[in-house]
Amino acid sequence: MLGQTIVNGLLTGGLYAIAAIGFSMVWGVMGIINMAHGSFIMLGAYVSYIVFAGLGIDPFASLPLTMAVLFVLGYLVQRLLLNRLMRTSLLLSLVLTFGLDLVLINLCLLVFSADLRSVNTAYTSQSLALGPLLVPIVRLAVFLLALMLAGGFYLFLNRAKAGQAILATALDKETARLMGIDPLKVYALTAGAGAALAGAAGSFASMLYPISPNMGLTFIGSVFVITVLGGIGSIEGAVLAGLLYGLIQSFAASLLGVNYEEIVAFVMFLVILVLRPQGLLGKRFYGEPV
Amino acid sequence: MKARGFARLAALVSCGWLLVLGALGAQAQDVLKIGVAVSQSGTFVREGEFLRDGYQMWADSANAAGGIKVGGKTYKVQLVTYDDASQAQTSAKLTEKLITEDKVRFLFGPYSSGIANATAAISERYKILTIAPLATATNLFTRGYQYFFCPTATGNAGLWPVLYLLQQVTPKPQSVAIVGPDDLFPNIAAEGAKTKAEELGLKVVYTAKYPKGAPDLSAVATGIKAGNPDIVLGSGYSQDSILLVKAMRELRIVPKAIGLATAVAVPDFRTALGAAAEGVMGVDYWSPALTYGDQYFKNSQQFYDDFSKKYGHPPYYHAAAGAAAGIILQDAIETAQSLDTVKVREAMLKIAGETFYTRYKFNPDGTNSVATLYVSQILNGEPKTVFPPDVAQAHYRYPATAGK
Amino acid sequence: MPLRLARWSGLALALALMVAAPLVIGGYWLRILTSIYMYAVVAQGLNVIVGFAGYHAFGNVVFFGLGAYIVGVAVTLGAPLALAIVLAPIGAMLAAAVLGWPLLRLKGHYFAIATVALNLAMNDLIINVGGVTGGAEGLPMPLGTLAPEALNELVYFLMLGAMVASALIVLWLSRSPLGYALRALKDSALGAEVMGINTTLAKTLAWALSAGMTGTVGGIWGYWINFLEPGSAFDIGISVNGYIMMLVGGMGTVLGPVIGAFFLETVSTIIWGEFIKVHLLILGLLIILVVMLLPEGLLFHFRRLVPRRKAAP
Repeated sequence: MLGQTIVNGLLTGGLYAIAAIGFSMVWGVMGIINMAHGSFIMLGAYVSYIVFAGLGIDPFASLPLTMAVLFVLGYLVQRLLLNRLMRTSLLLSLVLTFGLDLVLINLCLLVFSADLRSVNTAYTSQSLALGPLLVPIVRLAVFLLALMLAGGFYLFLNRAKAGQAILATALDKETARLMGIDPLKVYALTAGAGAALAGAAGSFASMLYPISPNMGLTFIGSVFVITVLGGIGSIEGAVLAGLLYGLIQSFAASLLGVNYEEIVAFVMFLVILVLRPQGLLGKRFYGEPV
Repeated sequence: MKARGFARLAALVSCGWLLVLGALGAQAQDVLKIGVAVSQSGTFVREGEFLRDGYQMWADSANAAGGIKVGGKTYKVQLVTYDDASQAQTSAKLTEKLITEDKVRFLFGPYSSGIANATAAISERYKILTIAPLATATNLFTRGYQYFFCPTATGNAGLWPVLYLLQQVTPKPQSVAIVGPDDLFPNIAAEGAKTKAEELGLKVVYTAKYPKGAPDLSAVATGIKAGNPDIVLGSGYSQDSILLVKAMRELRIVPKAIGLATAVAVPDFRTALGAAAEGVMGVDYWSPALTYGDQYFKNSQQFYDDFSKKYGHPPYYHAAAGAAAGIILQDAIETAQSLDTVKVREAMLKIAGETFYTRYKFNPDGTNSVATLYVSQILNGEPKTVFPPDVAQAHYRYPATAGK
Repeated sequence: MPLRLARWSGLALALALMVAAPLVIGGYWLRILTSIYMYAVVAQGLNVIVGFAGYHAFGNVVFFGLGAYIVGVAVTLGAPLALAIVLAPIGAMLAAAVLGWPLLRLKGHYFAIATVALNLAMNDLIINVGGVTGGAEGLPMPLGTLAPEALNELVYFLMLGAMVASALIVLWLSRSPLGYALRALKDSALGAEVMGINTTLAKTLAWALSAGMTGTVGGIWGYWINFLEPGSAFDIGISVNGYIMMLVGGMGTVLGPVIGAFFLETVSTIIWGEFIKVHLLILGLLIILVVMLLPEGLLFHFRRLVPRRKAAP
């Protein structure tokens, strides 16, 4: 029971981590809280579903496509809408992306209706037995892929030129500009990358959960908590926090009862905000442009 | 000559025209308006639309048969329909609009007990009689409402038929786990199931209420596994029931039976789970195999066929319940020979009869004393009614282990 | 001062019309007006904490829900309505004062999402506490003996009163030392400290004031709807609507939130009736348009159209 609780927590945490990374980075680099992030996850799930239902391609195989589609969407939203707000009031981005969220959900309702869709593969609901522990195959694969994606993204930020431009802009926009970096382009790139990661999370979610236009709402609360817990803008922080969050929920559910899962999460969130707003691994320069 | 003939013809035509107009005018006066505020967007969009189509099905049938006859007059039924967006606040607003602006004489209820709680407070104040076939929360009928009726069995009985069925099997199951989302209807159904299970001598080894909309139910499944029950009962909706069954399969929990309160009738449940849905039992409010009948539908199969033909997809219990609400209301109005709320209420308490959907005889609190529930089981990928035996389409499978 | 006179007499006329409205209209339209007033107060509550103090309390609906539950529980336990409606703002203000002390140390986004989390936590708390609150099953309140018309008029005048009172409070605030302190705080927390303003006290007072307004209408709403569910009492959509109304009307102004409420609620009622399938879509697009095109609010643009005595800068 204890072992299973740990396995449950870690595996769920991996998915939460990948759902949070894009959100955390967008917030860290640009100061934008993307309320439509949950809808991006939902769209990722629908892209995977369409490819699966239409062409029979497994969501793991269509992952690059899903991420590419979401990258374009994130990039365009930033270029056409959010970049114009960067000069006025950043806090308005919260309201604007909320509006965008409503639009995306309603559009999906019109296109896909409220029917629950699912991706059912041969290995859905199968598990590996490791002694007394049961490890569901899909969850394990999602967990491993999520860690690999997070690692890859970390390398991209720290090694690739474009990634360095993002970091430089996050550090100091003006200096970055002097060095010939166009902040607005970097912002669009960042938003695109964030959306692509949301798309990956959606692709994973499509194999675990029923797909519906409202499914993003079940993620957005956890994404907030993990982002703040890990430190805004920190990739490694989000991964660590995602796993920790999964474990805490899993233990809260088994020790206090399942209905305490959420309240424990929110109280934890408030306490961290007040006591350590920079999060576990947050760095000084990230986040809040006061 | 020619001109005179033309004048005569013109006079005749215009006389005829006037007659037609007069007749239309008279018809237009004898319209019985019934208000419908149901969800056509938001959380309950699917259930709401089925329900609305059911109401409409009755209205069209009644009008095709000439209308409702009251005191020598014949009324055509007109439904005034709005979208409550699955929100209690909006539904309350629209109910008031239906009563005060549209001047409806009766109301059909919304989908979901939460919303019905808000609208009943208004209709009751205005003394407008409501038939709400899918507002089954027990708390609606303990508040002393005079003008609120529900022909469907109330929520606390929502899992009983599964327990009754499992009384008949050998060896008898000994233990049960009861789980569901923390929400109005599921709590009532889970509470009712717990009481009934204990009454029947079953040991309740695990209960859990999970947050509504929880994305992951592994923790619940782990708890069930530790309790190792013979039966697992779930009081939730489609989405969380899918998650629950998935999580149980992943942890290789194989109880002798799984019984769900609402999900089995909905096709999404089966497509989402595929083989994992095999053998799952669920409570059903209606089955096309029922042989009750009324003036419009001689049995449930006929309703099934008529509805499928009209809407291009088969009906679920929501639509059947909606149509039955209309048939019962019509019976009460024609018995009362009046459109007066108080007289129709008196008639509601007097009448007893059957529709294709259910037999009915109402208690003073608004519940139907002879409502019945059924059990369906997914057998070879299709839901079949398996209980009670007199309407069973197939024999139940027990122990109901999954596909392979 | 003819302009000023014109403005005041215009307001007086509008108010007289609102007071007389129940004589002419009833039922549904009275209900629409009542919810416009309700939202105007929610927007006004946000105006105090967002528009004046600069703290984006996105989850301010927590006080709405709190007020609703205070009234719901009090009335169910047999308290008279008048007492219950007085308790609602008191409870909400106390909660804001106690919670504000730690939470108002947070800035910008952090504070905004902390209020959202607070709202979710309170929602879950009610569900888990159960008991007199009814928990997840909801709280059905006693029906009472009022005829529907009388109840509607009572709620109408309560909401109208709340709207007028909140506007007067904001008017007072805009001219009071507290108002100046808050504006200084909004521009620069450090600057305000240097000026000798007790910033903690000022912002806590502002949030308590905001909570009191929101809690009052939450309480009246609770009595009006007669059946409380955590999901509808703590519905974040109420805050979001109020926020957009405040933005549309113009934040930091006295009448902006009221104008925003009239505008948005009328528009959304029309959308609701006409475009069932796409009303969220239209609402979302409207939000995006408002933020992109008129972040300073309608009032600001309206004022620019009206010639003013003041010399152009």
